[in-house]
Amino acid sequence: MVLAVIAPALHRVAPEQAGRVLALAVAALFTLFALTPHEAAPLVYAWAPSLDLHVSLLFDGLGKLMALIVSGIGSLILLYANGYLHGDARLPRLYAALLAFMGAMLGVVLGGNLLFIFVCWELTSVTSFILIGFDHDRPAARAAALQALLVTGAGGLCLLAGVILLGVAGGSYELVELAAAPGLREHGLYVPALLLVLAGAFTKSAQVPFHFWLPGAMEAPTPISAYLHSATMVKAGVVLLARLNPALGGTELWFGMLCGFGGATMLVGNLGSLFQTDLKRVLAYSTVGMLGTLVLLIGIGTQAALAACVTMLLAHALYKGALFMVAGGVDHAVHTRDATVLSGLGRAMPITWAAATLAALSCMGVLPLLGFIAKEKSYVAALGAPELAPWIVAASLAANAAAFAMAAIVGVRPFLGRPMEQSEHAHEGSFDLWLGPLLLGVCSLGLGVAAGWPFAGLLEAAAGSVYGSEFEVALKLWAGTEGVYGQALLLSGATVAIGALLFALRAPLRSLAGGLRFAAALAPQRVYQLLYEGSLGAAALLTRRVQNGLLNSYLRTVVLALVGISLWSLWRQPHLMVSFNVGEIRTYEIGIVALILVSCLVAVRSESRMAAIVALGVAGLGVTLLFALFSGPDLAMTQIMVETLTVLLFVLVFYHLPQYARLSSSFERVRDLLVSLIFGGLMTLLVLASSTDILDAPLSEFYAQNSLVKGHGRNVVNVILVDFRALDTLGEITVLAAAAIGVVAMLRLKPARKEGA
Amino acid sequence: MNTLMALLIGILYASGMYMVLRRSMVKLIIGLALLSHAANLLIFTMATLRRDRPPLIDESETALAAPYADPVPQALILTAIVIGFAVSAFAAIMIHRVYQTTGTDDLDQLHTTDS
Repeated sequence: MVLAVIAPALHRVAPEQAGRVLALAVAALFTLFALTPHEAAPLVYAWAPSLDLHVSLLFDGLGKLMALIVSGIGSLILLYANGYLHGDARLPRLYAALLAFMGAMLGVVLGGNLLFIFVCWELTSVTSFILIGFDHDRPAARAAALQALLVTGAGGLCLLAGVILLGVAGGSYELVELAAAPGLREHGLYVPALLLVLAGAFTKSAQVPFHFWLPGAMEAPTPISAYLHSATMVKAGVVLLARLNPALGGTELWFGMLCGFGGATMLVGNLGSLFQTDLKRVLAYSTVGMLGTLVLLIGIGTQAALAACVTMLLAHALYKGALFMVAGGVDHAVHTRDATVLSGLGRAMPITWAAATLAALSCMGVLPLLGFIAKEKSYVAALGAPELAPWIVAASLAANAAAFAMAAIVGVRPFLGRPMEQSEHAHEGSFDLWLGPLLLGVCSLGLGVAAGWPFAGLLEAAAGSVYGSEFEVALKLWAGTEGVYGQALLLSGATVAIGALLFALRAPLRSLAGGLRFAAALAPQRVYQLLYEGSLGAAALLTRRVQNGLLNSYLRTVVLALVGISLWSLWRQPHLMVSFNVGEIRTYEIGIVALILVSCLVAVRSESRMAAIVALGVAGLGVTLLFALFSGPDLAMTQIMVETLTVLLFVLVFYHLPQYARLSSSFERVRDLLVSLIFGGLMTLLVLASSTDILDAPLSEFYAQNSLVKGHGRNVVNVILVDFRALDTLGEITVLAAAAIGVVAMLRLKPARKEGA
Repeated sequence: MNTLMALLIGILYASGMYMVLRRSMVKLIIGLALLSHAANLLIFTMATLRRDRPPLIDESETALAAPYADPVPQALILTAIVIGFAVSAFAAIMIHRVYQTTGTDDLDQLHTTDS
């Protein structure tokens, strides 16, 4: 995260080298992670203890594995971006966003507190929004970014709800404590919490039916696609599920949901990839399929399955990252990513070719590479599934065969065959462009040949932390032919055969499935579009209805709401006393009140403006008299002066305004009358209901005692205004001055001439 | 007297609100004036109404003698009257100005910011 801040500055200092320096820095981080031994106990720093929100870092096997993937591939991607967008002015922004994302992602994979994970999770969504919409001047990129944000954001909300339910049910947000919490699976909140968490994880990891945003996200420049949408971000959901497996896994619901959705995603993604022609979209669909496989394996939940899952995770990150970078390199060289056109690039781009071949072979699961071990393990896991084993095996077979064909399309086909026209201009990219894929490809090979060394122990620990306790994971290149291993080997053979067949048939497949594919792949997309446009329309409708620009209706709403709330709280008062304190009334007082009432009615009813103003003045005089009678001499004096001025002013101003016209219909009049009467009635009720002496507070007593002693004045009201609360009076004077300035300004300003008039 | 005042306040509020809800801007101003009367009387009534006990300290005393009209609400109302005047004046002139510019005093025709 810190690097994200430095990146743009660094780029300004050394535009040529910034990417390489940053890559080195991240590589140093990678080394640091690699050298730190993993441990099961979390490191906890309190962040917001009142919310049970701690920054707790869980650097166990899984955390370390993911941290290594994130930082390792991250450093290669930075290098790659340096070459891919060479000389682009937006490069610093890309570095900043990528590094910010990397920081958030490390938070997700290392977090040990569910709330902390959630915060980082949302951060990855936001940074990914920025990254997908990197070409923000293209509408398609903006739409794709928004789509990804909305889908993952909606999932994030579900996740938050689920996490809070989990916290309530399990009594803690710490993963370690949750895993140890007894009876969590029998808790009443288990099912809703699980469903909500799954919704969050499935949207993030692009499971069917939420998979549609991932291919859309390919609008981003290739370095971003390679990083976020193959190796890291989409794995966040998988990691979360793996993290929660010890706490939530092992139930029927868990098995059913994960296997169902994972299996469906595996098939849709892998088969869907065959129908695409754009290299990046092919890869995107295959990534969707792989995510489905990972979810499926976690769902199966046996030791073999979890071992397969972590192996697959590593293998996939290595080969898919490489394949993406290869696709980007090809695009960079010949400016097309169309799989039906690309051909014969091998001679022009030998290093990229080598990297692509290695990655593709690993993806196919061919013998000496890491992908082979992963695939063998997944077959073993599928064979050992507690339920539905034959179905899972069949689905895996289909998916892996499709993946084989996919790898051939992306990693082999473009480099073989007759050279295409553009290939004459094709050239190897710079060092930055080919180093990443080559290194990843070599890793795939090396890890395969060395049977996981030096990562075998780490994978074992990772599988252990997903499972909940350590167990032995045997990573062998050649596991023998006995028992399940033999069957797995057989399945691998079948995979290769079917995959080769699929590859050979890819052209007819594409045309055959033309109609079908749109219906199948776009259905959730269409639902999303409908929802999106629907909510926009509803918002517009609501705005038109509520903000209609009519003062009248705003006021009515406010008044009615006020009346409603007041009446409700009055209703809830246990001892509501309406006291009719008639007391002593003198005749002339009744007269004054009657005067005010009559003039008030005249002011309302009058058809003449002048009569209304006069009536208003009379009402003001009545109020003045009331003040005078009930011990408010200062009030009376002020009121009479102000009233006189007001009447004069109104007469002068209204003289220039038009006569009354009948503007409202009778219905509107009656409606407004009702609203006003209800409002007036409420105010009467409030006065009657409030006990009278509430303002005989110590405050008045203080002024009564100290007015002369401290303020040296005998008129207490005056002393309050000009001495005790002098600042308030200053404010009042300021208001008057402001109003006066406004009035003068409005009078002096000449009316602007209307256009066209 | 309290009951009577309560009634008066209610009617003042009701008529003020009715006027404010009209579409004519002139009526809006009259309504505002009525509402401010109502509010002032409300505050005035909430403190105890006392006859002939103004909050003035006698020449012979150094503090206000016991039953007195509460000075705090009076100070509040005094401020409110003055501010109310400022608001009325400002609003009246503004309406004048709006009429000059737009040629209408119908509030419902003023529902856009462009004229």
